[in-house]
Amino acid sequence: MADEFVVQLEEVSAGFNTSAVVEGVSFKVKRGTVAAIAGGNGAGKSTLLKTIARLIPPVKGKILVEGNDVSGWPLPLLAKKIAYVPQDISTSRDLSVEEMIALGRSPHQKWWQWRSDQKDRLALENAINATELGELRDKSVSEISGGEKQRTAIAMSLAQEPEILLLDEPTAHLDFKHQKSLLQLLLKLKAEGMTIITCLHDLNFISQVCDQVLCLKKTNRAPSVQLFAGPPREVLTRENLQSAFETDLRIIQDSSDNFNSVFFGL
Amino acid sequence: MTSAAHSRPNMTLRLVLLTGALLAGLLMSVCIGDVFIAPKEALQLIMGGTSNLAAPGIADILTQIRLPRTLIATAVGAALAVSGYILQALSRNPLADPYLTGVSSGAGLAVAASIIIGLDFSLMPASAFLGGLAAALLVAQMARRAGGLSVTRLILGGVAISAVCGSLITLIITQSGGAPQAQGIIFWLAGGIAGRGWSDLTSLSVYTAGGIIATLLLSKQIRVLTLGDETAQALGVDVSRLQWILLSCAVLMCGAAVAASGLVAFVGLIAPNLARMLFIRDERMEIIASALIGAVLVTVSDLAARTLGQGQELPLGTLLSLVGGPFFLYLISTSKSEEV
Repeated sequence: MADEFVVQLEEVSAGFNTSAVVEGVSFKVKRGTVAAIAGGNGAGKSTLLKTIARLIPPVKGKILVEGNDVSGWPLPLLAKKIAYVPQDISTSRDLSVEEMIALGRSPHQKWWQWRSDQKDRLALENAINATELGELRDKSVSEISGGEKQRTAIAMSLAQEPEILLLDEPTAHLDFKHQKSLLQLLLKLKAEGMTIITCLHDLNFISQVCDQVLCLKKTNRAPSVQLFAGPPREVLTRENLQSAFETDLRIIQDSSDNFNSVFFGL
Repeated sequence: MTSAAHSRPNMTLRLVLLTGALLAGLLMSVCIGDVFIAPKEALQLIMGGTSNLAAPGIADILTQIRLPRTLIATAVGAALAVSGYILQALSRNPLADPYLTGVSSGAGLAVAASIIIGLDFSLMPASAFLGGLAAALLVAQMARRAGGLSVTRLILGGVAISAVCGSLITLIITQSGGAPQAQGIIFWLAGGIAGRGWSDLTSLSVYTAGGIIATLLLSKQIRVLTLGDETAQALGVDVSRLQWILLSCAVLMCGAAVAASGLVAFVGLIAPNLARMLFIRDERMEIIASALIGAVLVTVSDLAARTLGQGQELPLGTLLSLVGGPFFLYLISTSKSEEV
């Protein structure tokens, strides 16, 4: 089936204006799966994610969404299909958590429209429930913690009701409890058919939640390249990681959980 | 129910009170002057009736001088206030205003040049718009950085542009060889509405009303824009197009105001900040409140300018700077932003 792959990258170079930060990435993501973009600092993970989100145009290559070239799509139409959660979100205004999440409905509303209809309210409630933000809904965004802000940002993207969710380092501000609930949330969304692509540093998180991982590697004085791609259990090997991060890491394969654990191996 | 919804009746009451303040200011402005007109007579005359109480000539003073002047002051205040509101939203900083960002000065230079070459007054707003836009673009270019505008650079750029425009205006005046127009520029520069009539009000009110309506329609998008350019775009907002439209609205309103009243500082700074203090969390209410507060501020200041001076009018711009300067200092001292 042609649209089995929801997102397809064909020889994509990503960067700003004409200078590529990452080049030659080819990668396909199936519907209802979770894919990770991994790699060392400065390897261009976020740049590639932003390019998939169409926040910056690709320097070269093609990005297909459900088999379509979306470069000419109107932005609100694209925003109904793809939601993007930045690493840090803030607002220069004193908004409540609920008001911020409600902005996720913007692509579904007319540009001048403030009033929300029943569908908007339902999507808002679902987003708040999924991220367990019910108790914080009336709090000001400026008063909540980094982790709560992250969850608010994810809730806002869920209110968009997208088919594809792009997350930039979603675990960055989360403690263990909230990392676990994020992991559970991502698995639940995946079960509901959501396609998720996320930049992640945490290799253990990747091996527990992702169906495949794309690893980028910075090269000397040149754009980063695609080092390997595939299911975590197959590609998160000692040799691959050594090449990606230029340091020795230990891998423990857990047969019962069916995923690899990565240790520093000191 | 959100906290914003809780306080809605309260916000409506505040808007009603502000509207009342404006109406009171308007009435005072048409009644008080060298000749005092009783409020009852004034209202009768304004309503189109002829007052049998009014002495001859009073009707002319009211309808030909005071009423247009008062309405121009109101429109100038509203235009500058909403212009400031937009510039603050665009720069994501409460310290931006048409005067500080150089927009007013750019418009001022264009108007000064127009006066010297004898351009018709009806074309002044357009000329002021072009001058203001050129200044705004220059300053925005200087202040641009990844993720938005740097406020420090915005204001420093604004100061530089203002200085250059000020010098050029001085050059125009000194090199005009004592042309009578030079006197007009000096008079107009100080900021004042004396001598303006109904014809000036027409273009000003069209620009102001259009700008305020457009800003109200864009208020939802303005809120999305507070999340940052990238997030706003991910939510389906064409950020650069929105910024262009908003900047054009701000410059258009500011240009029209400058053409009518010269350089009137700080209204665009004070009014939106007071409005935000009163109407937290609702952009539409804030925009309307900004316009009302700006209108009250300029109407009352203009009244003060023409009545407090000993036999001579005080410059409106100077009066407002006396209030605005300290307010600006207050905002800086209470600002949570690390940059300013």
